[in-house]
Amino acid sequence: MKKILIVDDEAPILNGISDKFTHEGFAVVKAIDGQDGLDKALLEHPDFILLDNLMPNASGFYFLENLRKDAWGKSARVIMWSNSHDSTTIAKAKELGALDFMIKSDWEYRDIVKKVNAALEV
Amino acid sequence: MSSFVCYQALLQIDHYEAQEINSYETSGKIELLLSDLENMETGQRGYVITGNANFLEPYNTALPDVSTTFQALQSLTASSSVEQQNLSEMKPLIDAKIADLQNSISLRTNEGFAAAQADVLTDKGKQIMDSIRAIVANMQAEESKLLAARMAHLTQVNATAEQVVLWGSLIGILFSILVNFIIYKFVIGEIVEKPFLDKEKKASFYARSLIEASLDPLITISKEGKMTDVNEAMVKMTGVPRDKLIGTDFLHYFTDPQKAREGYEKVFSQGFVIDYPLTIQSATGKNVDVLFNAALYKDEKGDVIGVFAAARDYTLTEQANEALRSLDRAKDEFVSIASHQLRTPLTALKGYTGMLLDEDPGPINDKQREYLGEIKSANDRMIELITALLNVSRVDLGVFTVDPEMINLKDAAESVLKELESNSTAKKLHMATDFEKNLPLLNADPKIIRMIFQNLLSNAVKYTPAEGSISLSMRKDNSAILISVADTGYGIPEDVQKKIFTKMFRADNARTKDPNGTGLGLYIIKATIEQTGGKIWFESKENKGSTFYVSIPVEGMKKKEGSKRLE
Repeated sequence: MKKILIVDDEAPILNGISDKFTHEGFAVVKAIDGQDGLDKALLEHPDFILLDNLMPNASGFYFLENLRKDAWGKSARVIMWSNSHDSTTIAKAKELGALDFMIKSDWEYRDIVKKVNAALEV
Repeated sequence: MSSFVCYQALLQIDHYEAQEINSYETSGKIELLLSDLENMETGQRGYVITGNANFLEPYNTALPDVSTTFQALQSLTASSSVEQQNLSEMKPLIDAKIADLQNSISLRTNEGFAAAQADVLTDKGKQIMDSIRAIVANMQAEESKLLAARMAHLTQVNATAEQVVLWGSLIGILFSILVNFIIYKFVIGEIVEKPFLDKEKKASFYARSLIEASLDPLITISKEGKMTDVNEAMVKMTGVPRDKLIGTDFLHYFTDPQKAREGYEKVFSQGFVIDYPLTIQSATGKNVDVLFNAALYKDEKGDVIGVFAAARDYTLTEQANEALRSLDRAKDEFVSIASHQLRTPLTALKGYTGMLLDEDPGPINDKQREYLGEIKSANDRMIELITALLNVSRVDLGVFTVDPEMINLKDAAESVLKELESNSTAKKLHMATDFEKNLPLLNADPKIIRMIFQNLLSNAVKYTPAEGSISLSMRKDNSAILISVADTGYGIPEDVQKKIFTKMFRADNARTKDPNGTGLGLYIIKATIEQTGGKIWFESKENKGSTFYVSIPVEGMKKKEGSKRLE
C-alpha cells in the first residue's frame, strides 16, 4: 500500500482529499501546517507528498526548504497545490524540486489521484 | 498733399495698433483656454482618485469659462482665416475632451474607482490634450507671425509718412515748410507718436501683466543660450533674483544640463518642443520636475532671436500618477487575496461533490445525481467567474507574465478539442480541422495559446445550434500564423459587432442561448493577444455564423516579466 502525506491547513479540504486517497487504496498521513508536515514526513517517509503552500505557522516553502536538507527528504516526491499561485511562487516551487504546481480549484479529486499514481509509476 | 498722406498714415497706424493689441489679446486668450482645460483635468483627476467632490471645484469653475474664451477667440481672430481654421479644428477636440472628462467623472460617481480608472488608462484624454496643445502651438506661432507682420507694416507706414513730409518740405514754400513743420512736429509728434507710444506702452503693459500673472515659469532665451527675460514664477521656482537670472546660461538651472541643451537644440531643429521633461534645480535645494513647452522667438522680420519657453510643474501630476499606480497595486493585491479566499471553499465544494458523484461513500439515485450535477455546474461557473475577474484585473493592469516556449500549435488545439468533445458530441456538431502541413513551432506562452483556443472553440460550441459545423484551421500567412475558428452558429447581430470585445458585453441572442456567460472571455483574449503582438478580428452574419481570426507573428511572443500568470 502506497503512503501519501497530505499537508493542508483547511480542514474540509484536508479531510476530503484524504478520504479520496483512502478510498483509492492509499495509506494517508495528514498534517495541518509546514512544521507538522515536516515532522511527519521525516518520521513516516511517505511515498508521495501533496503540499499546500499558504498555511499559518509554517508554509509549504518552509516545509520544502527543510525537507531538502534531509538525506531522505532531498529526493522525496512532492506536488504542490494551492489556490495562490503567482509566477514567483510557481518558480520557487519548481526550484525547490516540486514535481508540479497545481491550482486546487481547477482539479477534480479523482484527477489528482490519477496524477499522483502516474508520478509514482515513473 | 502731405497733410492728406499724413492723415492716411494716421488711419493706418491706428489700424495696425488695434491689430497689434488684438494679437496680444488673442495670445492671452489661447493661454487662458489651455489653462482652463488643464484646470478641468486637474479637478477630474483629483475626483477620480479620491471620490471627494471638493476636488471638482477647478473643473466646475473652468467649464463655463472654456466656452466664453473660445467665443472670444473666434471673434478676435475673425480676420485670420488660418486662425479660424485652427479654431474649427480645435472645437471638436474641446468637445471630445469635455465629454471624456465628464464620462470619467460620471463613471467614478456611478461605477466607482475601478471603472473610472480603466477609462483614464485608455489614454484617450491625453491624446486629445496633445492634439489641442499642438493646435495651440500652431495658433501661437500664427499670432507671432501676424504680430511681426503688423509691426513691419507700422514701421513702413511711419517711414512713408516721414518721407512725404520731407519731400513736401523740399519743394514747398517757406510757409508750407512751416506748415509741414507744424504738421510734423505737432500733428505727428503730438497726435500720432504720442498716442501710438501710449498704446504701445499699454499693449506692452498688458503683455507683461499676462506674463507675470502666469503661475508657470516663462523665460526667453537668446540664441547663445542666455536668459534674456524671466517672469516672477521663474524667480520663485529657481530661488534666484531676476537680475541674477537674466544674462546667465539657462542650462545652469537644471539638474541635467545636457538634457536641457538637447531640448533647446530640438526647438531650433523642429521649431518647438511639447511637454519636454526636465528638473529645475532651485537655489534653496528643492528640485521641481517640469514639462517644457517652447517655440522659436522671432523679430518683426522673422529672424530668430531665441526661444520662448514655458515650464509646468508636474510634481502634483506625478504624485497623482504615483497614487494611481499604488492603488493599482493595492487593487491587484486585493483581487489576488479575494480570489484565493473565494477559491478555498469552492475547492472543498468541488471535491465533495465530485466524491459523491463518484459514489465513493455509496450509490446514489438518479435524482441525487441530477441535483449534485447542478451543484457541480454552479460551482464550476463560480470558479470560472473568479478566474475571469482575476485575469481581467491582470490584463487591465498589464501585470501578467508572458513566458514563451516552443510549442506545437496542433497539439495545443487538439488538446482543447478533446476537452470539448463531450459537449460537441452531445449537440451532434460536425467538428473539422484543417492544419497546414509543416506548421512551424511557435515561441509562445502555452497558457495564453490554450486560453485562445479554449475561448474561441468553446464559444463556437456554445453558440452553434445542434447539428451545425465548426472548423478550426491554422496556416502560415506571410509573417504570421493565422488561426481561424468558423461556425454555422447564431452569429453576432450587426448593430452590436463593434461592442463584442467590450468588457462584460453580451449580445442579446448569446444571452438567450447561454445565460451563464461572463462576457469577459473575448475581452481578455483580445487584450492578451494585442499585448503580446498579435491581432484578433472576426466576420459574422446573424443566423449564418461567425469566423474569428487570430494572427500571431511567426517570431512568437516576447518574454514579459510580470508578477502574475494568467489562468
